[in-house]
Amino acid sequence: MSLLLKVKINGVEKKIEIQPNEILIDVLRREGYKGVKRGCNEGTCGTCTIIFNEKTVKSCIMLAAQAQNGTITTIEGIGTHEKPHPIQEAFVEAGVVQCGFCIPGMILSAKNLLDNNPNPTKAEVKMALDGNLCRCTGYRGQIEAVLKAAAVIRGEK
Amino acid sequence: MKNLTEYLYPSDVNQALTLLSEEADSEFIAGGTGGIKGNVTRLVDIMQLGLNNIIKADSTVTIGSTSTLTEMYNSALIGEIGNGVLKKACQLCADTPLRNVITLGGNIAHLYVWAGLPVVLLSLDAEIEIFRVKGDSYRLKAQEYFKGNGIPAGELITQVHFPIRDDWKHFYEKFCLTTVDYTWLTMAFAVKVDGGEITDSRIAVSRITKVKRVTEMENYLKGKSLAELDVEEAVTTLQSSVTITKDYRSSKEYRKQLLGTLFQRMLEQLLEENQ
Repeated sequence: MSLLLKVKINGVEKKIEIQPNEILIDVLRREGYKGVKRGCNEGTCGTCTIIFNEKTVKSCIMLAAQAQNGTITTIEGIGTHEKPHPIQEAFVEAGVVQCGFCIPGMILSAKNLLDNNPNPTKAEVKMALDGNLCRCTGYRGQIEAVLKAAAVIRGEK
Repeated sequence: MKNLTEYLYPSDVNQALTLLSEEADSEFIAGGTGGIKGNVTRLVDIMQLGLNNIIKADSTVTIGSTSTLTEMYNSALIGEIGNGVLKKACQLCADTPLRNVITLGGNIAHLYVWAGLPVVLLSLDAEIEIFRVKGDSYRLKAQEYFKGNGIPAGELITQVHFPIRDDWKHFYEKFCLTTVDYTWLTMAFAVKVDGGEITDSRIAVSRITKVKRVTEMENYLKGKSLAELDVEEAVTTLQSSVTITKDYRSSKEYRKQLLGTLFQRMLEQLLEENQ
């Protein structure tokens, strides 16, 4: 028996027909949000991270039905090619993107942190990114980039 | 989940229990990280029942069962329980996106070996409140609850009552290789010291065995003077009191030594703080 999922994605109200057993990542990618990456598909790697109701979650282990009446932000909802988000700019400027597969999830984790805590400590940044595995780099650069982006967002740089 | 055909959103506890009772192959869902059995045809979502309150009355903090680990971690009241031991456990249980969805009730409902909170419920003598479809509820001490096989069919954990117990010393460790790794051994130790003597204690372990309180060890420690405590003997006593189950990742001998090492560190910290 199909369900009508009412959800706001990147600020747009959507009504999507889903099956009760569909996983959220499948629905999002079907709807065109291809920035939601499928990695481990078991809730470990964090490449499928989205912001759901102002918290980061892993969409590969969440049923789409759980998102009923919720608000979702995917990487498509943050910045544009012409005007990237300060976190995206900081990642590019710091050169902390290698293969890039983990980056959408990592950017969303960083954004969720800075939305709630504009002046985080390094430890708080590390904790916010603890659900995003990167197999290319060593995290240090991304953590520094988030701290630099925080300063930009605060208007200090 | 191929058989899943219904996903329902009740608005109160009684409705949730009724919807569950109508269908044989039905289950509750909260955060959804625990996995869903293949034969389930109906899921009943309990995240909108208003069971995520955290309140304090006298010397007890009561936590609603659908409170997430993040909500618990961010609550000042949680920091008061066991001098912050529950807060520490909430942080170590999983990474941030998982903590945002894992709930207190979900972490204790089905006795998953990787669950991080059951040992803390045991070390703090928490009480679990459970509702039945008939509309009545009952409380079960954590020790009794964890002797069973989790939440009985057709029942719902609504809240957990934690005594604050700030006059005890509390320790908690989860051993794993990375933040996101499943636990290799989870352990909680609470001890009451009066005049340099251990008057009471709780020791709980999981993952290396079915989650349990190690009462043999608690009896061993009772009445022991800290000044004369033989740490080596205490460690050996604990190791011989726990029957270690199979784990494909490491040998029993390794995990026996791990148990001893973690407990030794807890005892050494206890002795240092009581000098």
